[in-house]
Amino acid sequence: MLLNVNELSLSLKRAGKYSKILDQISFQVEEGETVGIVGESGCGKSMTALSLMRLLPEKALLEGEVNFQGEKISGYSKRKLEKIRGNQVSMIFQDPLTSLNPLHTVGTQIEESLLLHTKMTKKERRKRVLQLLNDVGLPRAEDLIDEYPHQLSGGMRQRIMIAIAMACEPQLLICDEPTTALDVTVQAQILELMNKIKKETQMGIIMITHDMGVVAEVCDRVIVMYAGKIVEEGPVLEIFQNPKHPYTQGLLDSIPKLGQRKEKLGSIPGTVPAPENMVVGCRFADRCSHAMDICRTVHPPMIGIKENHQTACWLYEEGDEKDGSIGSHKLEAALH
Amino acid sequence: MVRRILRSPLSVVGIVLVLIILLTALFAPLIATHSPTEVDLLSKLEAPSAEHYFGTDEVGRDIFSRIVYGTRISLRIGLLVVLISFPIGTILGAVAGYIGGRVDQVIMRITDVFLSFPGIILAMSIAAALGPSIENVMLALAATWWPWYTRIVRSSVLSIKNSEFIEASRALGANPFRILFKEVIPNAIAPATIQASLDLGFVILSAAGLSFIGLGAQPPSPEWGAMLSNSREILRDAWWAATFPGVAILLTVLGFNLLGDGLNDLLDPKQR
Repeated sequence: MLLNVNELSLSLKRAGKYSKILDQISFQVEEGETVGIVGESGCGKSMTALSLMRLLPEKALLEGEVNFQGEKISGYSKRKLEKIRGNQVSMIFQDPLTSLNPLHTVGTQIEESLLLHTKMTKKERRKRVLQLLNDVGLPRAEDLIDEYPHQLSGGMRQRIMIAIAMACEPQLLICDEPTTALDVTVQAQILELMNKIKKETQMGIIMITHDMGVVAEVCDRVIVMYAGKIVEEGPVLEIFQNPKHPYTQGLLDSIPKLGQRKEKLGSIPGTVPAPENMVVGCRFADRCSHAMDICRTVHPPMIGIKENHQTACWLYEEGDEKDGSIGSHKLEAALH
Repeated sequence: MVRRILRSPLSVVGIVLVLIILLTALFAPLIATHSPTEVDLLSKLEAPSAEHYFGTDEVGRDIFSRIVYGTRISLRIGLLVVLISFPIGTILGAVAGYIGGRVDQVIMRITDVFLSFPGIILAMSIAAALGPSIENVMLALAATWWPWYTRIVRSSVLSIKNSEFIEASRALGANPFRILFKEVIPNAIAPATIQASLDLGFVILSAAGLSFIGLGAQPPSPEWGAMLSNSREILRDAWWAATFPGVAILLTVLGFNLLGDGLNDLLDPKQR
């Protein structure tokens, strides 16, 4: 087991009082596995990623355990965590335009993590940087190394970000919406590159996204989050073919299908509730068409539908194999 | 880069003025026609002529040579004051902005105290307490000048400290000290640098002002402010004694201001 997150909760101080952003999140990532975390804006997926490495604001209250390669890193000191960040666990951020420092050359920025975490000489570092630029599919590495971020296109910059993240050969890569800010064609290239890297390195990847297409493209397993809680979890095919939670079904319903022009795309009415006024029962109840009385009073526990496939919804019981109403065409639609 | 500078005629004027001032200060002994302090009572209060370009003062000193040597004094004051207050202000501002919370509160309240005190009054009291001299004027000006840089740097740090590249740097495992000096300060320093180049002129002006009221350079030192002060009484008989030091101050301040504006356009990372 590469990463084991156990009942992770996060509260942030807002307007004088703490509100719970994440509520008892538990999940695992194996070596060589890509786990997608999906959900609407504000559901806590980015915060989950930042919590793992404790890249949080000062006034954050973090509970629960994070185990990385059998070590309980949630108990590590700041200094000890800094040794892991960028070295064994790397992150790629959403916007490659702003994630690079405009004042340093591309080479210096890729070199940075080598400088921080290895004892390489200047020559060795340069060699490694050139090799990394080649690995992420950037041509004329010799020139690029001395160029500034503003001279590069968005896709190239995201490749640079990947090169930075890969510099120390991490065991775990956390990608926070790595393709959201890119053109569709460039998105495809970046995803292809990530699949290639994944095959070559056997590292674990956490892919945070709201794009079901990205999930279908690269993920092995999916975690669906809603309002700071995990509502469904399972293998990617299973989730697409047999989604159980009404929220997951709604998410899949809102993907446009190629060749079919509907009057109206499926959408889920309402928005994610703010952490300040969180309800007692199921957080999705207010937007759910199947909501029952129990939904509003007791939060549903995680229920195993099949091996590996779990959901938190009162509609189902342990081992329940009631068929979801959505078929495999969803997966095909998402792949287009 | 050179072409960008040349596109703006005003910054060219600024650069030329500053260059002239720098060269004058550097080669003062070669440029000056007389000794700046040599008294020649036989030729006192002479109007500008081929012998004395800018005329002579009430004890017959050559005003042109005094102004030439005065460049050295003024430049030294300007540079030293800015060189002392700029790093202090920058580091305090960056620390306040980046760390925030209580540290920010403490630093900024101290800054506010200094800012709320009229600079010239503070400088006067320091100069009065320590005795009038050019060194004390520099000390006084440096003590009143750093809070401006603290303010400027803090606000630009606040605007960039949540940038993704800072976050990315944290995710890379860089410690806060390294992030502050390698990522935060270099990206936040441009506005303060521009302010510093403008301030060179203002510091020179303030120093001349303090010398004018007798708290700075003492006669016979060829400081421009002191020269102006001396020429007050003879203004009606000898216009040149007040005019040329005044023009020297004017051109110096103007030069540094135009240079600062030019830098403003040049250092803006968004335009690069």
